[in-house]
Amino acid sequence: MRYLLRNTNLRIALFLAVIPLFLPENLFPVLCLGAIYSIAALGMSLLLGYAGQISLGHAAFIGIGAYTTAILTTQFNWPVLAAFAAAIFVSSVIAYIIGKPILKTKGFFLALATLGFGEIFFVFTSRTDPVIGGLVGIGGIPYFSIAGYEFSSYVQMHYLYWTILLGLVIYSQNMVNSRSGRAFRAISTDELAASTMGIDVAKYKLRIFVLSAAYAGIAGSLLATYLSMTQPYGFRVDLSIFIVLAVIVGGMGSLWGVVAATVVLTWLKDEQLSQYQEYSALIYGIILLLILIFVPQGLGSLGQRSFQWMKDRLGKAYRYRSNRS
Amino acid sequence: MSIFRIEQLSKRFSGLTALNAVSFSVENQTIQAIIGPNGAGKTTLFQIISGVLPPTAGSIYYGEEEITRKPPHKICAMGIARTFQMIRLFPDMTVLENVMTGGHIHWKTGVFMSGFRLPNVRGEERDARQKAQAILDSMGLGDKANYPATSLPYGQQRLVEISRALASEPKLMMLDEPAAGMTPQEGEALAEKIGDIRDSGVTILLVEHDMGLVMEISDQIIVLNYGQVIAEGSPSIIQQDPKVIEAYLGTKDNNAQY
Repeated sequence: MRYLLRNTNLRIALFLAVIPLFLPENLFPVLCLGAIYSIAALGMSLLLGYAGQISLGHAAFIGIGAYTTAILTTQFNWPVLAAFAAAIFVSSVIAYIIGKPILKTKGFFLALATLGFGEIFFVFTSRTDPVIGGLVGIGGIPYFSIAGYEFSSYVQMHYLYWTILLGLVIYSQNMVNSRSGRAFRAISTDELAASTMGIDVAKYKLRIFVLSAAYAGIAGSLLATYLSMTQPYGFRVDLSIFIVLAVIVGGMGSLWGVVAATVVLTWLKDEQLSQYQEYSALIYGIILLLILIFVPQGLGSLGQRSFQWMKDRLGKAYRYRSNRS
Repeated sequence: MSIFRIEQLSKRFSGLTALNAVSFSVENQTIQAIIGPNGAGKTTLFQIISGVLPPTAGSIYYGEEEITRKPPHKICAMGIARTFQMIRLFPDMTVLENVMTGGHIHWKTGVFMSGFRLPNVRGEERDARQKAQAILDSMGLGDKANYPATSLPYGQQRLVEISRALASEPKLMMLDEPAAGMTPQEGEALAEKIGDIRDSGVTILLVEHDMGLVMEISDQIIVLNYGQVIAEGSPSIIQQDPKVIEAYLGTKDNNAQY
């Protein structure tokens, strides 16, 4: 039992399981949206934090997931679960198709290319009226349901989203500590050395790009069922930057740190700053600067570091006392 | 029997000819050193063999197969591993993880499946860990396995690079100045290790400036100067060769000008 409690995943799961009992009603939307955005941020964390590749177009993959779900459920009457699976599939396939040419670029150019892809998605969705509603978007998307059981209250959605997120965190942790995870970390620091170790750099970059787009597709599909509508303006560059920001604030190599940062940033974005929408880029910029100056390893590293600091202090005090006696 | 052969290999960087029609072959299970003054083209040669740079002309054969212009990861998969003149360990990994990364080609789990801790994935991971640990033990670094790779002293980082190359179980291993930055004692130990690696069935191509080490362990030596092979033979022959002495020390006429 004590061993189980030392397991971080389990402690966090327990915390999330009991939190609906204590939380004020008005914070549920933040936790639900936070979980959804965290899924996309988790994918970005694998792409950016571990494999060292940036994407400023990930809002488009969230949008593809959302639109796929919206179209299939409202116009073709698919069950939500099937539309959910299709959303993951479609966002992965599109990531595969555009990833092949785009990932030949590096750094700054990769950022620009993915940014361009995000804008193309916006233009496409906002100008195709008859099928996907143009700027008005698609409404009337049903709640998420599994075999007739509908997740319609905040508490139900809380458990649904955080269960999916927990599963994806564990999946990501496993991947990071595997042969593939090492290949990604190798690529992020030294592509040349990685390739002479037998790692097919182009192939692995494409794989992680597709995987992170699949995470974004999951987030998009859940977002569509949560909001019950999709609109082109929901998936613009500010959402892409929001997700990248969450990864940097949370810490490049810390999956739970990224989740925590995403929830806090969601709370900021939707509760505190919702009337200052037009300043979002400025506010994100300030947050980014502050983090890069004061906590460049991200907030995820703070927990570890403060623990180490306390240990050092206690160790010193202990040595001091034993020297005197 | 030769395991590896280079024919008329040339490399030009715009105006500069780094390698000019270099040809040689390497016998199986020998240590073949490549020496020469700075700028002779030794490292360029390694870059081309490992697929990092394309040659301007010429061809490289491994066994009977031509490997010229193959990408680095395919060349590694065929059994050619290398180390770097400037150490290129993966800095955010431990020593053990670096060596496990070296064994990449020997394991199969793909990106998608690696997220599920299925029994076969776990077994593969355990094998990879054991093999990497065994290599580190044989290099005398067993107790450093969980240190961050770049926290070790320079000489030991070189040994980690060699371990990482060994983890791909190569048939041909290219060592680019493995003794650089080592103390004389470490150099001695390294010479012994390189001998052991050869005896375990690996052919070694060695670029090294420490002439004591080269003369001690090499079976064959090739001397490059200005991108051309100027001499080839056993250590005792090379030491007597007037062209080699000239390349390293200059001629009497040259000295007379000063």
